[in-house]
Formats: sequence, C-alpha cells, structure tokens
Amino acid sequence: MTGIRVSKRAAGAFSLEVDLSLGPGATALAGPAGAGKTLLLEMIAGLATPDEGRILLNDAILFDGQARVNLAPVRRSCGYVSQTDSLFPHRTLWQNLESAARRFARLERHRRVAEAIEHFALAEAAGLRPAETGPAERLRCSVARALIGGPDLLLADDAGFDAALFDLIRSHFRGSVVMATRDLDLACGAASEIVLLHAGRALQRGAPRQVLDQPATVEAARLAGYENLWQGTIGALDRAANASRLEFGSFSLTVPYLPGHLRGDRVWAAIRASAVRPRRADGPPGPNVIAADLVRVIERTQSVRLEFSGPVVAELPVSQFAALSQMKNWLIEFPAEGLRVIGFQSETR
Amino acid sequence: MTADWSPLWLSLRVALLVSALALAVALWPAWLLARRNWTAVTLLTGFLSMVPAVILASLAAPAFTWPVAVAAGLVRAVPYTIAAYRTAFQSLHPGYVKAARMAGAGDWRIVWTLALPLEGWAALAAAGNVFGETMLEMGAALWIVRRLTAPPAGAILLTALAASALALWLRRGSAGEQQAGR
Repeated sequence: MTGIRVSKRAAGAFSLEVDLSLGPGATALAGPAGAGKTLLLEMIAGLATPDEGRILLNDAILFDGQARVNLAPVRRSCGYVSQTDSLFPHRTLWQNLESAARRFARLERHRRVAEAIEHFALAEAAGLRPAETGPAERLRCSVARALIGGPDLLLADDAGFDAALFDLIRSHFRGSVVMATRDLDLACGAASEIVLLHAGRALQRGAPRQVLDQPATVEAARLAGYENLWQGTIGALDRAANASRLEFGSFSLTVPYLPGHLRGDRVWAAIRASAVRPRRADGPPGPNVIAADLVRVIERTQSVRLEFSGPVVAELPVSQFAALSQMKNWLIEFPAEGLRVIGFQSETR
Repeated sequence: MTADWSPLWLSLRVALLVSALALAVALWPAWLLARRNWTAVTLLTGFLSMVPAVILASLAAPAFTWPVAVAAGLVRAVPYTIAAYRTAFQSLHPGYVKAARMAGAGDWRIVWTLALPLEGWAALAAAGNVFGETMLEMGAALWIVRRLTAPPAGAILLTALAASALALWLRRGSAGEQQAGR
C-alpha cells in the first residue's frame, strides 16, 4: 500500500492536509499555483517534514509523526524531478548522473550512467555542461538522474513533461509516478488518476474522465476547466417529466431531474466554454437558449474564444466562427448534456 | 637612509593569516546560518564586522605582537566572512541542494561539491576585502604604535587598494559566471 496522510502548517495562513492512497500507475496532482502540490511532493521525497501524519510506500514507512520515523531522502526509494532546472551547472550531464549514483560501486555506477545516457538519448550531450545543452536534453537528464537509483516512486513537480517524454519514462520505469501539473491535458492523457488540489486540500480524486466530467464542488469545476459557472436556485422539480428548472436571475435552464434536492435549494451550474453553442438569433428557439451580446473576441491558435454578456464564455473552432462572425445578434444554447449541476452543500463542504 | 620595510611584511603576514583563518573558520557557521533567518545574528555579525579591532588592540594590548594582531583581526574578519559566505549560500539554487540530498549528500558534501564550486568566488572576494581592510588597519595601528614612515605606509595602502580591487573583480566575475551558468 502507498498512502499519504499528512498535515503541515506552512508560512502564513497556508496549511496542507491531505489523506490519499496512491495506485500503482501514474497519479496527477492538479491544481493552481499555491495549492500545495510542491510541498506534498517534497514531503513524500523527504525534502520537507510534515507536522504530523504518516507516509507509506509499498507498505514501508517513510514518515510517521507519532513513531518519530523520518527516513532520509536517499533511503525513501523515490526519484524527484524538480520544477526548475536543477542539474548541477558546473558538471557535465554524465557527471550529474554519476553524482546521483554515488552510492553504487564504481562499475555498477558506470553501468547505470551508461544505460541512462543511452535510454534517454543523451550520448551526444553527455560531455557537455547543462548550459551548453538544450532544454529538452536537460529535462531528459533530470528525469534520468531521478531514475538512476532505481526508485519505486517517481515524483515530478510540474517539470514540463510532455506525452512523448512520459512514454519514454514509462518504457524504462515500471514504478508509480506522482506528478504535479497544471496541464490537465497531460494529466488526462498520462495519469490513471487525478487528484484536484486547492489551498492545501484534496477536493476530488478519481479517474481523469470522471473528475473532469463530474466535478464534485464548484472549486473542482473551476480547476477542471469549467469557465461558465453560475449560482442559482432550483425553481421547479418534475420527476415525471424528468426535468428541473434552475433559475439564475436573468435566465433559467432546464436540466434532468435532480434527486435529493428541494425547490429553492441553491446550486451551481457549470458548462465548459467548448460545450456552449452560439448560433444565429434567427434560428429556431429551444430549451436552454438565451439571447446575449457579444462583448469580446479572442483569437487562439486552434479556436476563437467569445465572451458574451451574462457573463458567458464560448469557444468555437476557427472555421465555425468564420461562418458566424458577421452576426450582430446571438443566441446561446447550453446543451443539457454539457451542463453540470453542483449542489451548494457539496460546494461548502 | 634605507626605509624599514618590516611593518609591510608584518602587515602582509597578519592580513594573510587573518584572511585564510577567517575563510576556514567562517565556512561551517555560515552554512548553518544560511538556512535560518536570525535577526540577532545578522545584527551581531554586522556590528562586529565594523569594529576596528586591530587598532583597538594596538592601543589596549600591553605588547602589540603579530599573534595579538591576528586574533584582533579575526574578531572583525570572521563575522564579515560569515556574512559573505551566508549571502553566497543563500543565493545557491535550492533545486541543487534538493537534488544533492536526494542523492544522499550530507551537509559537508553539499558545501564542498556544490556551494564552494558555485559560490566560492563570493567567498574569495570576501577574503580579498578582509585582506585589504586588515592591511589598512595594520597600517593605522603601526602608524600609532611605531610612527610608520612614508614608504612602508604607502606600500601598505597600495597593497590594500590592490586587494580591494581584486575583490571587486572577483565579485563581478562571480556574478557573470552565475548568469552564464543558469
């Protein structure tokens, strides 16, 4: 079992309280800056000491506040890739790898370094100092350095991994991975589990698709990339028609029946910008359609972001926007399948 | 009449010893203090590094011998060098220290293999300053005690200025290396 139950009061008002069990695959810690991702990884690695709690890795105790067990980083069988480039600048890549394998006998050390150099395609840069190499080589070398001791757990702190590097790591390393990231696409593609961290608390955890599609709290919805969030009340509940009407002051939305709720309950409604459908004002009316004024258009590489009064944010593919760009009056449709309703109680829990 | 150059040799001996001993003595306390922020220690090192201890010793000691001068010089040089080392160690990238700890390096190993190679220029610059300031203090003290003549006094002054200029150059070199290395 690999589990982390720790608490730490850090500088200022920030405190971290986390209770997680980690699966054998990759776990992504997703959250904004200041959520506590780095502190949590450092506590697992042994670079920061929790105030209390317990950290287990494959049933071995790494830290136990009550029993006063606190293993040194080198004895924790963890590899750590930090957020910033931390290769020693006065040493070559080869020497950087060698310094991480210092505890092995000379021949074994040489074998491990040579193997890492070959696997992470660093042969040409092995004799160069970090400043003489490119960022991709430095990142590969940082990963190789973290893995050279044969850890059971790789900790990566928002290190700028991409899918290709992650595949390279997985082809070489069979242990668990915990990576802090703000890149939800990477987390979704590479991790078997996502933990949403916010202000030192784990808001939600689960399979990436489940967490991203079913946010449990409004903060989780924000972290999961729901840009449209409105607070309102339940105006009507009709079990027979499988419908509920949510009222948000200037507009209302119809969603499937909400079991366990009463009329007047406060709720949040969330929908991704990409799920919102702007369309012509002269088109057919329908449920969950409101009129809105276009306030701002922001061009992106693959899409166009539209900001409407309300406020409502929509995102359209460039080609689709080109066909609609001359319109003066807009209707906005919120498809029921894209809408998520979050209970107010779970938001304040 | 030939000039008496013994004050110059005495000053050089004292300044060299003070610089070398301060570099050695200040290293470990500076590493320990670099990870903490104690205002009292900062104030104390700041105060002591301004005390003209060699001049005071020349006035107060019954016999102003070179061991007395070295001991007095260290009163000022050690806190100054601690402060210089401490600033240098605090500017050491925390990621390097974490990486070294992950590899099993203890404090001494981090100091010898990381902190000194990467930030040692700042320490050498501090040693240059200590050398120059001790030379100046020795010059002033010998002026009071022995009525120093102009040729050795000028040589002491020039040596002190050269040491300070070297310290300045080392500090600039250190900053340039940091930028190139990161």
